[in-house]
This record gives sequence, structure tokens and C-alpha cells, in this order.
Amino acid sequence: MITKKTYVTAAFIDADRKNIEVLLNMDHTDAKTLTPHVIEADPDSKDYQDLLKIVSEDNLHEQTWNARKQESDAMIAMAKELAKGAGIVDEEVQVQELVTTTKLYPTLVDAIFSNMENEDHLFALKLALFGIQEIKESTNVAEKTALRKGKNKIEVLQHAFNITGVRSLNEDTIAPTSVLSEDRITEDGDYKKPVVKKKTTTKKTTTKKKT
Amino acid sequence: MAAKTPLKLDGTNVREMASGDYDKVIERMTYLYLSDPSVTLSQVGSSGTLDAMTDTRTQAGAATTHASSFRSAGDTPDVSTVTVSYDKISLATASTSAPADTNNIRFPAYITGTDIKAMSLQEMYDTYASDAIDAIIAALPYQISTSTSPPSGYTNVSTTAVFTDTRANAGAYTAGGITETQDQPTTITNYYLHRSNGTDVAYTATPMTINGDGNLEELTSAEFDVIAKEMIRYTAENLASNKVRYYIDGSGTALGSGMVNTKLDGSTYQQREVGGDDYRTQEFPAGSAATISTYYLRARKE
Repeated sequence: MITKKTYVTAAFIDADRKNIEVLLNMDHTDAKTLTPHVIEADPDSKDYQDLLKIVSEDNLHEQTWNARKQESDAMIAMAKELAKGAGIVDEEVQVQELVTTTKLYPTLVDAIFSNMENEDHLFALKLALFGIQEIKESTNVAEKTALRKGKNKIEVLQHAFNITGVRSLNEDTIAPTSVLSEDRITEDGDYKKPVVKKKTTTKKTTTKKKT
Repeated sequence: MAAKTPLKLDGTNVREMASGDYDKVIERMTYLYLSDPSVTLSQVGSSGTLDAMTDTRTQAGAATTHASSFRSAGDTPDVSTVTVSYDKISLATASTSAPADTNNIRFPAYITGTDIKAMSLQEMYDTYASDAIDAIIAALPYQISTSTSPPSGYTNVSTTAVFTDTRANAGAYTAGGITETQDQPTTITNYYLHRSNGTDVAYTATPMTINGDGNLEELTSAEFDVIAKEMIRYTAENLASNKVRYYIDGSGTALGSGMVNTKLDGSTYQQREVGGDDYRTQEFPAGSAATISTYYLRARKE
């Protein structure tokens, strides 16, 4: 059933990584209708053995992260739309306040040192770490696998650090996920304030793009 | 007792069957069984004999209304879980009898070293039963799939789903619609049961038996089919340690796709003001789909 001809994509469907949904393009269904086929991630399972002939276990984890990130992004987009529609929040103001250094670190520390084994937190942390290009594209399969399987935040971060190492830099850089990155920087290197509805208390920040 | 090696007619010589001949006998037995199984599954409306499976989904909380202000999220009833039980697969057995050993010479003949004897029924079991049942289970007698079009080589047991995964239809809930109907589900996936037709395989050689005159004669394929089918159908139904049985989960070989129960993992608090003196709030299902459980139909030898 799972062959190069029928295989389209596959991803784990549970936090324990015990079951995999394989999307198949089967002869007996409409060409545009993919058939979901759920199998066990069990080395003794013929289906699983067939799947691993087509895609590596590491790729399966990669595809799972991508799929869950898409779901997560879609959920955030939907939540933002709902919030905007209801006039409840101005997210840009809140995000900008959050990145103010003095407020960020207590929040960061609190996030790391509380709920260390919370599954939702772990998922969000791993998702964010795999958003770092250096980790995402690392060829250190063992550390990436260990990061994915990390059972608590410290363990996850340790594996992330093992991949990235400690950088020695002479200037501040912008985090890849920061609101100060990419299109928030003008060609002159100035910070371009986001369009907001409310007046923000955050001071204008000047920074340089990483070269 | 132990497994025996039947005799076959090789041209004009009598020889013991080769392992390739034995493998074909097992494949043929698998086909004979799958084309007429003695342990069957069916789709039923309710109260199936296999364990029930549970589909869960979130539904909106009850709406609140107040004449002068919105009730807070804390004072608005939470979303809750709707649980639906799917108990739609039943197992039945055919009440077969053990094959009769007519005159104690019905079954294949084998050589002891100095003598030629007919297998006893127990020797037939010892020779074929375990391997044949393993082959039957490995051939996946039934499969679960997400399509009413059966996989190649299978026939629909029913086009009625044996399990349905539903989730709250998050898009159907709107603040402007408060008070919304609490349970607004949408079907995510239906799962159907299919039965294998088996793959017709011919013997490479048929065994020899001892006839009423005490002579050896070669069984025709049709004659050995009758014996083989009687034996394997009885074995699958009744023979201790070699029975074929089906379960939802537990140990055994997974038959087709797992059946996944998913549920939205969050909620959102919404408000609506109607006419200046009717402040309504309600919590709706929201979030991502989370896998709650995965059920597998399994076959095992017991």
C-alpha cells in the first residue's frame, strides 16, 4: 500500500510519536483525493518498514514540525482575526512592549523555569528552536533527534546549545523571530515602528542589521 | 506428534514434498480460508462484540446574558466534551467441525523411514495449522480504510462507517450568532471495514494418500482443497493456540489504517451586545486538532 507511487507525505499525529498519518494517492480514489492511512511507528510493522524505504525517520520528524507549525500559524492567524474583529487587543503594541529588554528577560526566565515538562510549552519551545535556521539546517542528526525528544525545557535547550555552540560576536544581533528583524529595519538601519492603533510607550530603538 | 513431510508423485517416482511445495500449500490454504472464512467481522448498528471506540469533540459552553454588562470569561461556562461511542464491529464464528479422518487414511501419506503411513488429524494440524494461520493473519483478512472504495483485492463489508472522527466546526461559531447552538460538529474522517478476497494460488504438487486398496494415489487439487479448507476453517475457529481472533487494540497485527479520534484543543471567549440591554457571552471551541486516541483493528492467533 505504501509505495513510492502512492506516497505523498507523512507526519506523526501524536505527542508520543507512536502513530503516523501517511497521505497516499491511491488508484481506487479520485486523483485529487488523498487517502489518509494511519500506521504505528513500530519497527515490526510492515507499513512502517515500507514507509522508511521512502522517507527517513529524521525527515518524518521534520515534516511533523512543518505540519504542526502550519497548524499553529493558522490558529494564531485565526485568533488574531477574532481579536481584531472584537476590538479586544492591539497585538503589535503588546509584542513591542514584550521585547523591551527589561521586560523580556523576567518573562523569558519565568517561561523556562516554570512548567518545565508541560507538553504545550515544550512544543512551543521546540517549534521556536527549529525556527532558527542553524538548528533547522544542522546536519547533527543525533542532537536534533535528542532535541525533538527532549522531555523538559532544560534538556531541550541543552541540545539546542550543543547544535549552535556559543557565538562570539562584537555587536548585537537581532533574533530571527524578533519584531526588530527583516522589514522592521529601514535601509538606513533605523527601526521602523509598526502601524499601531494605540500610542505606545516604547522608545524608538536604533539598531543595525546583522551583516 | 510432529510435523510430517507428505509424499508427492514426481513423474513416476514417489518423493517427499519439497519446501517450495509446502509453501504453496500454505499459500493455497490462505486463499481457501480468505475466500470462505470461518471467523468473520461485520458492521452492525450498535452493540458490536468488539470493544467500542470513542469519538470526542468539544462543544460551546452555554451562553450567558445580562442586562447591563458582559459576564467575564471566568463567569462564562467553559466549552465541554461531547462523547460518542462507536460499537459497530461484531465477530462471528461459523460453527465448523473438525475434518473427518475417514478410515484413518483420508489425509496425506508420509514415510517414517521404513513405512508409509497416513497422517492423523493431529499430524495434519502439526504440519500445517500454525504456518497457515500465520500466513492468513499476515495477509490481512480485513482492513480499515478511509474510503468506501475498497483497496485492491478487498470487498466492502459495509459502506457504513465503523468509526467516525468528528470535531467542533470552529468556523460555524460566530460572536454575532450568540446564543450559538452548543454542539456544531463536522465530520473529519469516516473509517470503513473491508474483507480480503484472497489471492488464488495453485499447488505445485498435491500430496499422495493411501486409498481403500492400500495403494498410494495422488490427490487432485480439488480433492486436497476440500481437506485443506475443512482443516483451516476449523483451525481458525476452534484449534487452541491457532484460533484467529480480532480485537480493537491490544496485541496483534494491525489491519489497515488506525482510526484517529481528534479534538480541538482550545477555546475562545466571545461577546455580543443586543439592543443595549442584552449583553451576551459564550465560549466557543477553537485551537488546533489534537490526537486524543488512535484505535487499531488487530488480528491475532490465540
